[in-house]
Amino acid sequence: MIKQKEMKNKSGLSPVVTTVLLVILVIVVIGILFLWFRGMVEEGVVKFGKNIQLVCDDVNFEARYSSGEISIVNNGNIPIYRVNIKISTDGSFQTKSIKDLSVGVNWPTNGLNQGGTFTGNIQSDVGAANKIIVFPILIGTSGSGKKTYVCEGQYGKELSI
Amino acid sequence: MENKIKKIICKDKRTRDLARKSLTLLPRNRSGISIVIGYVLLIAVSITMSILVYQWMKTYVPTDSVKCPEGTSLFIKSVTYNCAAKTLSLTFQNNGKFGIDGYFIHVSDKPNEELATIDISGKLTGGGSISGNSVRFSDTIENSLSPEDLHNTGISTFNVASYGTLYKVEIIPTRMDVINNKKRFVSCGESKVEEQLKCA
Repeated sequence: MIKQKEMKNKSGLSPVVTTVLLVILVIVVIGILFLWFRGMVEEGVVKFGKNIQLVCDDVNFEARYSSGEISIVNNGNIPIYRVNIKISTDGSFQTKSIKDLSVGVNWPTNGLNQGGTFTGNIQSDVGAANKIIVFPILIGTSGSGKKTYVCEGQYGKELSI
Repeated sequence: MENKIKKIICKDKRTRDLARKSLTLLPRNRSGISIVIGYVLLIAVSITMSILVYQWMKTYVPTDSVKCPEGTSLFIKSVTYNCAAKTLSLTFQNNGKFGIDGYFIHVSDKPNEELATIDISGKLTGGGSISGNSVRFSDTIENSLSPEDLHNTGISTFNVASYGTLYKVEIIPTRMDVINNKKRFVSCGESKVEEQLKCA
């Protein structure tokens, strides 16, 4: 009899507690989903207020290779932070940043600005390659600070050897 | 509230009836307010999400790129390369539709080199002023080499004593343009001109 009375008095969780629990649960689920989704989506890098992928269209540079020497001139208005050099030899290829090559020390620290030029001997790195492609690397800003972006594919310049 | 009104009410029957009538107009429960809070929260969340999505999406919208207007053209009217005195003199003419502020100048010291990469802007001795790695025709007037001017020619002289024999000169015109309400220094890479050098 007493037990029954006690049971009747217990009305379960109060509405305030349930609401608080619900809110906490939703926040936790959103947090987990956000962390999972962030890993899947590429972080947006911005340059001059535009997504850096769109800025690749505005890059205008010239590159030549002759007698082991590579020459690069930035004709456009987008600074080229670095370049990647794709060296193809008999079906295989390797991509190297200009900074990793022996001439990398001569590359300007801030990259090639408007009208900037670079020339250097990369014969030892190229060897018996039959194709060289130069890809510009741009630097932009993202939520986590400065970040580089390689303008690949159509933005590369193939140099005749 | 009811007690207060009761105190105020006088004994007059008419006034009492009026007071009773007004009491019925007062809300009995306040559950309606929570609905309003719900709507306010919903709208606030929607607006916040819209702002976040807009901030993210706007970077993907293509905007005007920084480039010179079509019809910008600089012509190398004459070149005098004195190998003995190691001087290079260039006369420019604006044969385009827009004013030109200056130029980038690169030379080549190897025969048959396709791309000139030696920047000689720092070797300017007369006819303009050095601005970074470029040469400006005038310090005070922007885009001073105007196509409307009848004497729209600019002459610049360089001391090239620190280089060997030069074979080629390449010129990229530059302009000062207002883009998105901001004054920008623009390189006109599309209007690049080159000239072979021969000793005078």
